[in-house]
Amino acid sequence: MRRFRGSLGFWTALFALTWLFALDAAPALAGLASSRVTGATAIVSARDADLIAVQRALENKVLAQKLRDYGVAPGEVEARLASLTDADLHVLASSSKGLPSGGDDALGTIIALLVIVVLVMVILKLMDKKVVIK
Amino acid sequence: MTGWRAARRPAAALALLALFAGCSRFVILNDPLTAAEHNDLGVAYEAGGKPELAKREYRAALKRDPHLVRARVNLGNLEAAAGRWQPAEGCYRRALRDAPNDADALNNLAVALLRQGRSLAEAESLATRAVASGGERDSVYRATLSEVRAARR
Repeated sequence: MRRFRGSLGFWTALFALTWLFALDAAPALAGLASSRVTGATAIVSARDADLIAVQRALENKVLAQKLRDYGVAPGEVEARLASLTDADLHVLASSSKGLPSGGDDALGTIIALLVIVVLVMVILKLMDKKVVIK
Repeated sequence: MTGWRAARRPAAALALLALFAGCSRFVILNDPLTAAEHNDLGVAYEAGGKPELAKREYRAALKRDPHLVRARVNLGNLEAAAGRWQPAEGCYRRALRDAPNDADALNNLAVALLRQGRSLAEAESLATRAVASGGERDSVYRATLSEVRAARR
């Protein structure tokens, strides 16, 4: 028992000394404050960002009208977005990035129309719709 | 044949110039995301272990809003994580120009100086200011101040 007490006392003292001199006395390691979000958006994944990009593209009047012409309501597309795979959604979002921010001049209009054609095709494909020319 | 090859590049450049000159104005393609959204997407990529994609998003955020301090600090963090302390320092300094009391930028600039082993007096002053600003990352800022002080001894 005396031997045990002696041994326990020794190890306790050693631990206390180590704590005092080696751990507590050493300065804490400086670290970078990690990257933060702005707190202004709800984006926590690439999918969230793709969803926003597609939803903004669907707000384009010409695109919405083209989709309606093919019998697809933009609301229907939005409802379908949730069930799209990440890869499909990314394809759609990437296509929508080509829309010009202003389309007043001739070149802007041409590019917008081309992008809209591509977007309509991608959306119709993702919604399993087919365009039949008779 | 060799002459034609040598003249190919200038000819192509001239053709491009003529094409652009013919346009009434350039068409700016739509970026569907705001600066804050680009930054937050960058954080998501960084957390997912995709630093290159994160860097692209932080740069896109800064292109849309050069004064977005959060994106500037985050870009600095990517440089620091790759061991490129000098560009990281540049990012933090620029962030502090836009927001002189941003605690993360103060702390991280102090760390950047500490890791480069220079301007330790400035590093201490920065870390002291970060600690004084407090906030949820107080323990991080205190650890930096403690290490800077130890390095100065």
